[in-house]
Parts: sequence; structure tokens; C-alpha cells
Amino acid sequence: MKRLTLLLSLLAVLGLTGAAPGSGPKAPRSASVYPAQEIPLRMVHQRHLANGLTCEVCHSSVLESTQTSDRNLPPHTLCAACHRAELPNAHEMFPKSGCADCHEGWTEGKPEHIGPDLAPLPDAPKPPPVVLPPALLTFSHAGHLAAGAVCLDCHIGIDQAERGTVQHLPTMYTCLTCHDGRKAPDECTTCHLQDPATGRQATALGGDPMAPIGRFRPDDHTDPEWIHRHEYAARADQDQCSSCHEQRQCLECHDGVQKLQRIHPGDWQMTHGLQALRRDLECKACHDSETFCKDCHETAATSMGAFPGERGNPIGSARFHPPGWKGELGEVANAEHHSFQARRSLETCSTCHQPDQCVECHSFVNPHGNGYADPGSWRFGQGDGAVCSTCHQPGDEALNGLR
Amino acid sequence: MRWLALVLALIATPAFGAGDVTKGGVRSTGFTAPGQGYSLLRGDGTGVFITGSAQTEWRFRAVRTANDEVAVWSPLWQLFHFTIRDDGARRRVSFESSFRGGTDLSRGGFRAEVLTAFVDLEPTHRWGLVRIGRQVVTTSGAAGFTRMDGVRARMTLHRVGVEAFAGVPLRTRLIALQGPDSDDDADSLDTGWGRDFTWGAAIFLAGHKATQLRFGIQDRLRDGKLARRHLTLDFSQGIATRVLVRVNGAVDMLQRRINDATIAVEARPADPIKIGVDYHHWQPSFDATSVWSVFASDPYDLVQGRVVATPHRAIRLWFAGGTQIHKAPVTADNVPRPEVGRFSGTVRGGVTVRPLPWIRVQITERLVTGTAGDKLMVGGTVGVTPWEGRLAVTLRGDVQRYDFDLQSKLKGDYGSVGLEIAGNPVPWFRARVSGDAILTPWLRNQFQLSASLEFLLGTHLRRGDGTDPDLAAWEPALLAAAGVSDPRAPSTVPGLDPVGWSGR
Repeated sequence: MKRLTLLLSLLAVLGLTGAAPGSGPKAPRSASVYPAQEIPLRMVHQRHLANGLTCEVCHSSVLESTQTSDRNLPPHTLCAACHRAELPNAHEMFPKSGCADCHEGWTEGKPEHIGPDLAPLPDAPKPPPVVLPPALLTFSHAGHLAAGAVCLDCHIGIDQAERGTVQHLPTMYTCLTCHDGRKAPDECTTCHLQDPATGRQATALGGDPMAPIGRFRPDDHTDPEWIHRHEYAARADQDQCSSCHEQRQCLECHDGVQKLQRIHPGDWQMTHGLQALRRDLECKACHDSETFCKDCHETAATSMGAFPGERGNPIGSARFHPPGWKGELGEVANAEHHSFQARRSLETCSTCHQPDQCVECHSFVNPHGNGYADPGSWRFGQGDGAVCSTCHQPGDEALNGLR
Repeated sequence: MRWLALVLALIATPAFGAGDVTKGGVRSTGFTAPGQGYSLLRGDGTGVFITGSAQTEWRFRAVRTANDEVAVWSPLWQLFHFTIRDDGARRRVSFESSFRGGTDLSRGGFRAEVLTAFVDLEPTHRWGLVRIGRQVVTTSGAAGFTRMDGVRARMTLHRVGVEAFAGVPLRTRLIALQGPDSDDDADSLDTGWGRDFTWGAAIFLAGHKATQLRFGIQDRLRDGKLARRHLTLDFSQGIATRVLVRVNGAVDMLQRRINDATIAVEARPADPIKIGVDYHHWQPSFDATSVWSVFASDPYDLVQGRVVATPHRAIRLWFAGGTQIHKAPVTADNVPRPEVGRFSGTVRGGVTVRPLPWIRVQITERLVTGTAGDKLMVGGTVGVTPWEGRLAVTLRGDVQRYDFDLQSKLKGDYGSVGLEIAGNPVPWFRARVSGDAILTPWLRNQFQLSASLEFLLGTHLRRGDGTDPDLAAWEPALLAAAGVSDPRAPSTVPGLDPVGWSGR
């Protein structure tokens, strides 16, 4: 019970209990899909519906609308069938029909501006325009209606709303209710526009680039550390990535000749050793260590001697590894002894060193950690026993007990 | 081969349900395009995209060596990309390829390689995919990010999918060009062909709005011997668009341990705020066929949290921190080594301000402290993208204090400054030039200059009205691309005649 209480408390703290689940009027809409609107109208959908009107009475053009640039608002003459704005007492009538009753805040309109056809006269002053940029989507009202969709499937909450706004246009969460790959296709370009150059989803449509924000999957491209976290999205579903990206884009970084500067700080070359030792990065995801690392380390003479004063470049190796790095046989290792760093990040050692350099000493200094020989800890004979036979002769009693 | 032939035969069979384009079978690319103007903004269902690009990359780097000599690199690369995408309403066939060749102007030598070259075959409704050729595979576990020559196939039935891949992993040897006097032997330059092999299989959930679940297995063979076998799990669950739970893991079946595991929870209590907590366990393993696998490598656990806040469209703040916890350090003969510690911390943060849509100012900091030493970095970036983003100028710099007890020679203050200018004056041309100077007391000062040019060339074939294509039907993709930024893009779905309306 305590756990349940704790969980509910956590949900409450997170705002889940009162939060709209991504499909209602409160959920945010993407400006990359729905450009900013200006609707200086007063139009209470709830009241109209309560008085017996239905959606198609005013928005009849959606029956044949096949694109988002279609303007499916009712014409002035249609509104004027009930809102008799040409009458002198229009504001006093039911329904209220004065110009300012619909054109919010506009006081220049007069009844005499309405012509006999119930449309504004050509020389009448113009109210503030309604700006409804088309959604940057491929969408057909007619197609959806033909497939059996109803208005409120997508325009959630409009029946309770006053003014219809961008908040009553569907979020992707709503779209995916039907576009699940079975009832309706779930390919990105089913709805999103297509890049004419590649045939993939267009992501640069003016304004901010369109990108997932991680509400459904771990694919938040806006995350400040996305460049270090995108592997999880690619691991789970690489085909999802290919909706927008070609494989060449992966290779531009992972196998590129120009490395992105923003991945590492500018002086990364000097300080990457610390991160490498912490093992909190995957150098090999982007770099071929055996060539990429050698490229600098050999030329700058910073490695390739196993230890200072030994083979290779003594100057360079001394610059890289500190005194005491190697240690002496039988001594208690000091803080700079290589064993510590080797156990923390053996991958770093393997960047420059070949394992036979380790075996030179470790063939008689035990390299195995505690519990290495415990039953079940290691599958003996892996690789035909070639690894073990590097140091152990057949019949070596040290191999007893290993499988 | 039999398996491959079967898959190809399956793909080649007449597509069932392809004619049912008025119901759930509608594909984006199944739309005809009788409209005018920006009709190329969506697939017209019968067209073909042919796109090529040429990219030139040059880099100049100078480093002062320990002997006070200046070492210079100056690689020049030429890349070509070529794709064909059949945008057919039924099955789809596409081809994608990249080629790269280069030389080092200061050292000589020449290397060339086909980076990717694969064919995709997709049946109607994308219930399957077969990809054949040189390609990239990304999975958890042993395969990871692998470029390979091979085959990957995926099939989805109902809500469950299966996937398998197999091939020869490739090694890229192009980053560091080998000069004519290179002493590297030929073996180190091979591309992986031989007795190296990798394969994997996975079963996953498909078509779920906010759920991903994938179980996989991957094997990596080196020189004909099994070097790694990993079982992997990738799971994510979105909850009401406010919470995202993610679990990733890989188990090393040969060394019988968890190679890596991640549990992460992200929450958006309000739209401008994102909070996340991650737990990682790491114990990377080496190939079982390598002597490296004999040496014990200590695992560690990492716990970290992060907050990203966007109180205003023009401001974003983020802050992250975590602790890495190692096993208690001992020497091989069990002597405790308290001086090296068990805990290591990281604090990261930053603020990005966009006073205008085309100006970005970013300041970041990073502090690493603990068992491996201390490091403090403060960096800043100023970027401007005037002319609707057609020009981008970025100036960046950072200063760092490096205090690493175990490598005392690296102690000191470092800094760098970089400038990048990139231009995209027309949709089919990009150019970039950048320079970086690195100020360091250890490796002395370094300098780098790089530049790249890229041309996009392509056409889009439209076969309107079912007539045979002719030359006039080929439209330069360059012209089509010019319309991408126009928000007035119409969209049409003819063929879907309204037959009724059950709206309110």
C-alpha cells in the first residue's frame, strides 16, 4: 500500500494526473507543422452545436477538400443566413449579429456595409484578416471522411470550445491512433511532406527544422546531449532513422574524414585521455583507433614505447606515461602504476599496445583478477584454447577446474 | 542461397492488396499528383528519384612534435553519393551508394573505398524489407555500429516483426592515409574480408504508438572463431507523452556477465521542463579470441540526472550531473589502494539564448572530478544564420584546466578557438571552411584548417497520367528543392472520393 501511495504521489508530482495525454486541446502543437495562426473572430463552437447546427452546415467544403491549403471556413454569406448583420438592430438580435459580435474588437463595421447578397460591399472597410497558414502536411479531409473518420476523431475538444484554434488540430499522438500500420499507413511521409531531392521526409520547411522530440520514443533530437544519446534510438529501430536520414549521414561522422567539432571540446586532443580512462565514451564508435590514434601518437612521439626508456621513442613515451608507470617486479604498486588504469580502462591501452607487449611480463606475473578461475566464470577453451595457450602449457595445473 | 532466393521470390510475387488504396492501404507514395506548383513535395506514387552528389573535403593540420618539428597532414578527399528511389505505389526498389577516395597532399599515397552500396526491396505496405549489399547495421551488443557486406531482412506480421542480418564486417582504413613509406603491413589495411563474420537476429514489436521492444542475439566471429555472443534487449515505453522509460542491455554469453545495462526515465511534468534519471552498468568485454580478454577489467556503475528547461522559446537551460562508482581498487595481489578512490563525478551544464531566430549564443561548462583526475571546461559558441539560414557563421572557444594526478605531465591550462563559415546559397550547393587553433602547453600549439564543397545533382521522374515517361517528364530536383521552404505546399489525395460523412 505504501508503494502504491508513493507511486501515486510521484505521478501527482510529475503532473500526470491532471495532464492532457498528448491528444487534447492542452497538448502542445508543433510550429513546424502548424505555422502560427491569427484568428480575430469570436465564434463559440459549443453554442452553435447546442443550437442544433452540425459541422457540415458551416464547413461544407471539407467534403471535397483534399489538401491542407484548402480554406474550409464558411463564407460570410453563410454566416449571414443567421447573423443578419445588415439589420439596424443586429447587435440586439438573437443570435447577436453586429459586426463586432463576430469580428472581435472591430468597431468600424456598420449594417450598411452589407450588400443585398448578404456579403460585404466591395468598398466596405475590411476587418482584421484571418490568417490560417496551411499545415505543412499531406492531408485530405475527403479521404479521411471516406475512410470513416468523424470530425471529433481528430478535432478533439472543438465541441466544447469557443474559438477553434491550432489547439484543436490533431497532434501526432492522435494521428497514430489510426495510423498504426494496419488501419492506416504509418510511414512518416504518409502525412509529412517529402523532400524532393531524396524522397525522404522533408525536415527543413522554414522555421525550425522538424525533428522528433521524444514523446513516443527515445528520439528527442532537441536534447542538448542528443549527439551522445542517439545510439539508443538507432539500436532499437534503425529503420525509423532512415525515414529522414540516408546512411551516408551516419558515415559522415562515424566514418568521416571531418570530425564534428561540436562533439568534442576544441582542446580535446590534449585532454581526451581522461575521458578515455573513465570509459564514458565510445571512441571506437567514430574512430578507428589503430590508425586514427596512431596518426597523432606516433607523429607527436607520445607512445609506442611500451614503457619509458624502453623501445620506441623514449622521449615520446616518457611524455605520455609517468615515472613509475611500469613498476618493478615484486614491488607494491604505487599510484601511478599502470595496473590501475589498465583495470579501469583496458580499451585505452589496446589503442596503442599490442597484447604481446603485456604478455612479455604477464606470462609470469598473474594478469587474472580475483575470481577468474571460479567455476563458471569463464568458458575455458574459447577460441580453441588459443588464448590460454599463450602462457599455459598443455597440462598446466592452473587450468584445472576450468571448463 | 536458398533462403535468399526464397526472400527474393516473395518480394517478386504480385503485391496483394495493392489496389486497395482507398482504405488502410493508402501509402503516402500512392497518391497521384494532378496538382500544380509544388506537387513534388510529396510522392506522386509512380515517380523515380535519382540523386547524386559530389563532395570534396580537405583538411590541413599542423602539430609540433616532441622534437620541436612540425608535422603536417593535408588529406584531400573526394566523395560521391548516388541514390535511386523508386517511389512506386506498390513494391519499392531503391539503391543507395557512397564512394570515397583520397590522398594526402603532404605525404602522398592514395586510398579509395566504397562506403555503402546496397539495394532495398520493399513490398507493398512495407511489411518487409530486404537490404542487400554494403551497408550499416546498428544494434545493441556485439554488432553495434557495423558496416558490413551482407544481407539484412525484416518482416512484420501483425504486431510482431523479425529481423536477421549476416555479413562480413568491414574495417575502415581511410581516416589516416598511409604514405608510400608506411611500415604498416598489408594485413592492417584489409577491409575485413577473410574469416571474419557477423550475424544477428531479433524479434520485436511493431506498429505500437509508444512501445518499443526488441530482443536480439548477435555473434561476432574473428578468424573463423566465435569471439563474441551477445543477447540484447531494447525497450522503451512512452506514457501519455509525459514519461518515457527506456531499458537497454547486452549480456556477454561467452564471459557470462552483463556487458552493459541502462535504465533511464524521462519525465515532462510541464512542457518546458524535462527531467531525466539514468542508471548505467558497464563492463565492456574484449573478444574471447584476444589475449586482452584474459586481463580483468573492472566494472563500474553510473547514476546521473539531468534537467532541461525551456522557459521561453529563446532560452534553454540544461544541467546534468552524475557519479561513477568503481569497485574498491586493489592490486592483483589484493593490496588495497585507497589513494585512487572509487568515485568520480561529472557536472555538465549550459545555457542557449536565441534573441533572434538567426542568432544563437551558447555557454557550456563541464567539470570532471574524482578517481581519474580533475578537469574543468568552460566553452562558448556564437552562431549567426542570416539569409534564412543560407549562411552560417560559428565562432567557438573554450578554456580548460586539466589536473590529472596520475598523469601529472598533462597538468595545465588549455584553450582553443575555432571559426566556421558555411554557405548554402542555393539548395544544390554547400560550402564550408573552418579553422581551429589549439593552445596547449603539452603538445605545443596546433592548427587545423578544413574545407568542403558539396554539389547536389538529381532529377525526379514523374509519369503523369499513366503515359510513358519522356524526357520532358524529368524535372531537375534542384528546381524542385527550391520549393521545399514554401509553406503553401498543397497536398492532394485524389482517388479517395468522399462517399459519405458521419461527422457530427
